[in-house]
Amino acid sequence: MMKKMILASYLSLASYQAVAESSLPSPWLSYSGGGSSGLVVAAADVSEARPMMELAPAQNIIPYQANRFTGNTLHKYLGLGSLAAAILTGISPKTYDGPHEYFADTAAVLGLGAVITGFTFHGDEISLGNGAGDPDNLHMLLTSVGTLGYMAAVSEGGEDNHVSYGVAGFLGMAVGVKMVW
Amino acid sequence: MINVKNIVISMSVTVVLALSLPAQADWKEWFSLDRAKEIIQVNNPVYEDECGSCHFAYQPGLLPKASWEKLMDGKALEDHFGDNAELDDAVRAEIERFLVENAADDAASKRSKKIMASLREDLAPIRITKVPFIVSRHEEIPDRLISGNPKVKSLSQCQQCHQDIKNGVYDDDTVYIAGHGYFED
Repeated sequence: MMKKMILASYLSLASYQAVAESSLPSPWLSYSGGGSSGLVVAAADVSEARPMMELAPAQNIIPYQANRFTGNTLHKYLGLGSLAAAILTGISPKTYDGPHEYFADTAAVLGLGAVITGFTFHGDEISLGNGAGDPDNLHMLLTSVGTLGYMAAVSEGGEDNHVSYGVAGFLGMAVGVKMVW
Repeated sequence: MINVKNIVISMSVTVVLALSLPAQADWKEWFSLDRAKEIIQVNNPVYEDECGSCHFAYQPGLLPKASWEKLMDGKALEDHFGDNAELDDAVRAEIERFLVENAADDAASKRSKKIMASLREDLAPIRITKVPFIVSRHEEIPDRLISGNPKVKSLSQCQQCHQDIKNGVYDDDTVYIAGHGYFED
């Protein structure tokens, strides 16, 4: 299980890297001609001195694309995927080394991926000071608890308790997703 | 035999779920599959004609009732951010009713709830750009991309950057700053 969790963490980080490098252009790219950090500093200084339009000629601006695949999209599909896998876990035959175990592992891995990408891409939307009135706070809390439930269920697979952990995990995840749907 | 672990888990789940209930006070919301993440787009032809002819017709869910009441006060409209925006009483009342009925206070959308959660008691800003949640979501954007950007000029020009604003969508993924492009914070 630990290996799978490490794998999930690695995949999430790799996805983040890929999304960060490919789909979102650096705000400096339109006039710096590169994305290295050294150029960013130099370009930022120049931007203070010259008018915006001169620095960002229209032909160099990447056109707007609706429905881009971004980190937010990745987070959404990981979360929905973990919910779907949890449902499949519940309805599949309860056998060792069978679909039940496979779907349970998938739900836990996808859930962990969703939590990691959530903190990465939406961490700035969490305002603990706003308390339970802020849907993002509840989303973070419930989905984290849900993922822990999945992980506990998988690690206790075969024991009586694992059903409670799994169901609790699913409830937490489902309500957490609904909070921000 | 009583399983203590199961009892603890059940109680924990119950407490957490109970905590989340106030966030969706209307029970129907729990069973609706309609997405309510963004500001709910509502339409009123009078509002769009009268207000939308001068500026973007901001969705009512961006401000609480108290703010719309202040803004739509007859006296206040005489000096509406520097302009005279006086309206006939009947038209003013119709627009105020529409704005108040659809204000952020009772709106089902996530962003309206976040707007309300960020407002402290008795705080009713008349500028959307002064709502603490809105302020916090824009504080990382340098001035040169807003006030210093001739294609945007002001944070109040939401439509210059939020490309799907007409559907009430203010998601990060739809932010594309006029004259600049995508913004990565």
